[in-house]
Amino acid sequence: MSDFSPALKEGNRDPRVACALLLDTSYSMSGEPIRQLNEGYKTFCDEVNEDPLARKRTEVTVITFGDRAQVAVPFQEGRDLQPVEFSPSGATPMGAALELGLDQLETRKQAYKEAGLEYYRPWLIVITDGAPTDAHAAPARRVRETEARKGVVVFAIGVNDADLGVLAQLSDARKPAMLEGLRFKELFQWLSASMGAVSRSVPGTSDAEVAQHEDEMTPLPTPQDWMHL
Amino acid sequence: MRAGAPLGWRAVGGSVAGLLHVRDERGCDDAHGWRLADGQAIVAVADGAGSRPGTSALGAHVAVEAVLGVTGDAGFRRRFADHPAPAVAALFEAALAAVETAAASLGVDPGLLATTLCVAVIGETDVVVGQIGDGIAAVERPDGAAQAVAVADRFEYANETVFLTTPQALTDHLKVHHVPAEDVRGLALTTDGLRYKVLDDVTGGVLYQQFYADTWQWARGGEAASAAIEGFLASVDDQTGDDKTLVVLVRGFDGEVAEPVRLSPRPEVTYGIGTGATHD
Repeated sequence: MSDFSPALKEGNRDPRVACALLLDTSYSMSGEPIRQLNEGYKTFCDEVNEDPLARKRTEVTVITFGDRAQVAVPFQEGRDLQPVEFSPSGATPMGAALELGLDQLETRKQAYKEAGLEYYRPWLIVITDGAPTDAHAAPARRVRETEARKGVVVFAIGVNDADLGVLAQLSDARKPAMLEGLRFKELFQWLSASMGAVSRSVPGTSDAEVAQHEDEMTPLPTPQDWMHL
Repeated sequence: MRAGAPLGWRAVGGSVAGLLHVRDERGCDDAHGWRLADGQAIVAVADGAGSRPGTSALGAHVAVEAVLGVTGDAGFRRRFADHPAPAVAALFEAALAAVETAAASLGVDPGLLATTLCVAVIGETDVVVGQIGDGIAAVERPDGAAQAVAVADRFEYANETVFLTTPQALTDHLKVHHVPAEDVRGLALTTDGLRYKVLDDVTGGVLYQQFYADTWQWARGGEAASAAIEGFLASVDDQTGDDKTLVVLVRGFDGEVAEPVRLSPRPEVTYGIGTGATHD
């Protein structure tokens, strides 16, 4: 038997999954909530970086909404993520954050296309402890419509006194989840593990049958450690 | 030389579990098989859906097994000679029926046995390649160039594909490529686990010519053997961690045929047996 060692293509780049984290940093998050949020985000950065595939396939942007909706962390690969101390202030301009998040994801997808990169369905994560203080109906509808076109996976997560009725407007596929207490760390651990699961998913996860069951596009870790049941 | 080799074709190949499947203590969800007999060469590769661990490997296996079973029937040779492309399309119907039967015997939804399937049949005058899913089928043209055939539909997202069990898969997504046998010197089928290493452009599906040139040249050598392909598959850093399958067919080779018939091992089913589990 002779060894088989054909020439292999080198340089094909890994597929990407873009993740937009929309974090409520309004004044009501002051104190322990923002501290736990920052700790949770640090855990997220560490654990994504430790996952061999997620660290190079996941690209994360963080959009905070407090004084205003802004890109606090521009898109970067998981391996480049660094902890950030988010500071609470201002109101809850969630509508603007939703628009900004979708714009960022669309721009990123376009960049992938132009770069010849394959990519997974992007994720939009919204975490808030209140209710929007700006116009949010149209942005929420845009999120739902994008989701319906299979353009984004949406997770809406409420903290403390969050208005779940508003969060429910963000997705027809998935009900909003309520954080148990301030278990941000467990939430972000779940998120990093989920990013890892998506990064490892290979063709074979979305035939027409599965498409009817949004939750099953890729088997994700169970959220029971952080979700209020 | 070529003793016992129908049409003078040799086949070598293998399937190995990907690194992530090994890490997660899952088996190989890919399957492959071939039959070189009765004046025909038939080869099939299948990739069980990664999202259905524990059962999709069986779907891949029974799909390949069904193809080999049908082509072992005396009537198939005549049907293929008369109507090559429809005869190959009928193999996909048989494979789907086998998957559905296997699912019924387990008491599970056929979707849990979701698998892709790529089949090539080489007859005396015709070569037909059929595909549902995202395998990569390449033929070696007389000038030595590799040509991608039966190319699957591509979707927007990297983890999307179509399975044998997808509704209307046979009518809407079966790709069939038909070419005169004299225009084919070699053939190679792979599942998607190798795509980052055998494609020059993954989004465009452009073949990496040097890989195929090396592969066909090696397969014509006197010492080509399936064990060497398995060794290669086990060691290659494929960037995906996915299961990998490569089956190579060539004519004009040195030495013996080696393996006129092969079917990868039947996998152990580890989920859903007798539970009545369904896909939701």
